[in-house]
Amino acid sequence: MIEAVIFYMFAFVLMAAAAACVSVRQPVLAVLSLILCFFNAAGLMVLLGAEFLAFVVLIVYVGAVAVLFLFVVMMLDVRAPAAEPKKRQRFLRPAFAVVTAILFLEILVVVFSSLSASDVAPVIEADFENTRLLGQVLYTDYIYPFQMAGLLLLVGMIGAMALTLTKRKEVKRQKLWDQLDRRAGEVLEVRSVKTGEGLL
Amino acid sequence: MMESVSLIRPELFLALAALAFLLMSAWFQKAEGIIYGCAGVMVIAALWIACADGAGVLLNGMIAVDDFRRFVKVIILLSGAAALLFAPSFFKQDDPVDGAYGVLALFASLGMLGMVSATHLLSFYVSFELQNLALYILVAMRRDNRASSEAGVKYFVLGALASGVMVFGLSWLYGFAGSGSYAMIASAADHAQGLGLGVGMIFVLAGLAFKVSLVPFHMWTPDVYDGAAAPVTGFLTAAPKIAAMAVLGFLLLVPFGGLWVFWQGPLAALALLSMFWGALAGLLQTHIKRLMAYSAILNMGTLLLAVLARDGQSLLLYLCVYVMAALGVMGGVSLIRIKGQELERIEDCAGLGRVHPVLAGAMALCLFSLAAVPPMAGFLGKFMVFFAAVKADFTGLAALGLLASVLAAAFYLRVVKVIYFEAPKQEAASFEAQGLPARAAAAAVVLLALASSFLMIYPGPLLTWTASAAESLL
Repeated sequence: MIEAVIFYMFAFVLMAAAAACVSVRQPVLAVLSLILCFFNAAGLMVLLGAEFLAFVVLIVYVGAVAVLFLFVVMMLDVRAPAAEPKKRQRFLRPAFAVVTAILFLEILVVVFSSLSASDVAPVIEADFENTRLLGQVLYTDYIYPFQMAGLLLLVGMIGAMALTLTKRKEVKRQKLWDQLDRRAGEVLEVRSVKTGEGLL
Repeated sequence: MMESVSLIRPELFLALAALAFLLMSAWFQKAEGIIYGCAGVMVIAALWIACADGAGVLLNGMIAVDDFRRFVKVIILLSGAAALLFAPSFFKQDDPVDGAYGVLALFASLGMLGMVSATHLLSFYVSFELQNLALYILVAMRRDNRASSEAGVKYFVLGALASGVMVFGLSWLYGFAGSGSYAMIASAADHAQGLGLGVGMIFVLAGLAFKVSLVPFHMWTPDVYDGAAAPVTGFLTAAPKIAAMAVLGFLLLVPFGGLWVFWQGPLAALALLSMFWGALAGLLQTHIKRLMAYSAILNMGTLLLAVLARDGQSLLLYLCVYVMAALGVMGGVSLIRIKGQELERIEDCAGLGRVHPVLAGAMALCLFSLAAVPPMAGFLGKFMVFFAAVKADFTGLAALGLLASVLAAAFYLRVVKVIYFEAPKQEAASFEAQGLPARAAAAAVVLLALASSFLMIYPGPLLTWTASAAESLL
């Protein structure tokens, strides 16, 4: 009973946030409702007993991807578009509606034709943790692709640095060691200057 | 478990060396040392792989080791090392490039080795992306150069699209077979032939065709080759092409071998289009690197004939021969400086024969080999491919391929003519290739040229090696 209530709560907020995400005009608001969407999807996953996936969604999608979206939206300073859609864009809305309707119909067909209760993976019972299971599979059966994916991410990081880190020659830089290493006697000379005569 | 890991020791060595050089490049300012070190590591790994024996499927069916894969890995590593040798002398005069160049080349070749070793869709895709990503960065590495940045973005966007297409195909294959393992896909294909198999195969073929730049998927090639620095272009002409072509051949011949009837039509079309478009468009080029791009398109099309004829030996042999000659030409291009600038236009080669007789001779030998002039290795390769095609009843295709390669000989020979018989222009008269790095690169070019010319006289070892490698394929 209580599970059903929680499920419908998450599901309702998820749908509402998804609708808001595609319908609001402010890009920042759209990204924020996308984040709300991710949170509720994570909640649904916890209900299914997939707590690892839930936290991965939170960490990766909310923590990294959505925040990146927010940065980009704020940096680009995307204003809300003018209320009147342009002529060329006017046909887009019905086109999207048709595509969405087709996708929705496909889901309906799948749900009502072939899917029986036995086809659905059972909800995992709580006597073992799927985090530990996933870890065991990742580090044994799939160790090779896992490590290769690690190298792939490393190459991504190297690339980000190699392509953006600039060492320009014309820029004057501090040489801390050279600056701190010199002595007063090497660079300073004390002279007594007579009044009215100057240095030279 | 222990013995299975011992089969991939060279790859582990390569990965650890790449990490070590990455750390070293943070402290040592001299990029040259790191690049040479990376080239040395590649050569050591190549020799190690070449000397090893034993075969087997390891790491839970993710990768396999056999003679075919071993041969391909060795030529990938050797060509990668040769392309790295061209880099220090090139970047010394232009803009200094950091040690990351060598490290990325190492990671790219590691990805290529993984691609070739894979026996599972997952391990294949991860390694495919590893080499792709490293190559995008290498292409865009000259930040101050607009053409280079443009090439990098173009390669990245189109490559990501091609990867997406390929992953879509991989997901169909996985859905069809219920497993990502090649063996499972092959056995599923024996029992039932469904839509999933056909769709998946065609999309994977399209992704790989992009990688080897076969004609409807070749658009990126001339721009990327032209925009990238000459040593990077050298790297691109050789190692990734070998890896992707070997994987294409392997996938079509082994896991999809039973579906020969389905893929031979599309493959023949790709081959014909690539050969003719490569030859015709190559005739119109004025830039040497664009010319090499169309040459790559043409040669990859020719290689498809070997796949169609299901002849592994001529596939491997022609890959070897093509890569040696193309690397030789690109090495020459990266060595030549015209008033301190990179060589771009073919007409700027004029007079090279007088100023730099050794380099000019080596480049001419490589171009002759590409044009498949009889005493050169290129002739042997083309002869083997066309002969295999005729034997497999593709006489028409072989005749058309012969026609295309005769057309293509014209554009290779045009470069030779410019090198030897055209008077140099006043402002383009200086060629500079001095210092130890330049000598090392020139030595590599000469070596490649000699190999291209003497292979025909003494082809025995390579023939037996390719034959035994091909035997483990089929």
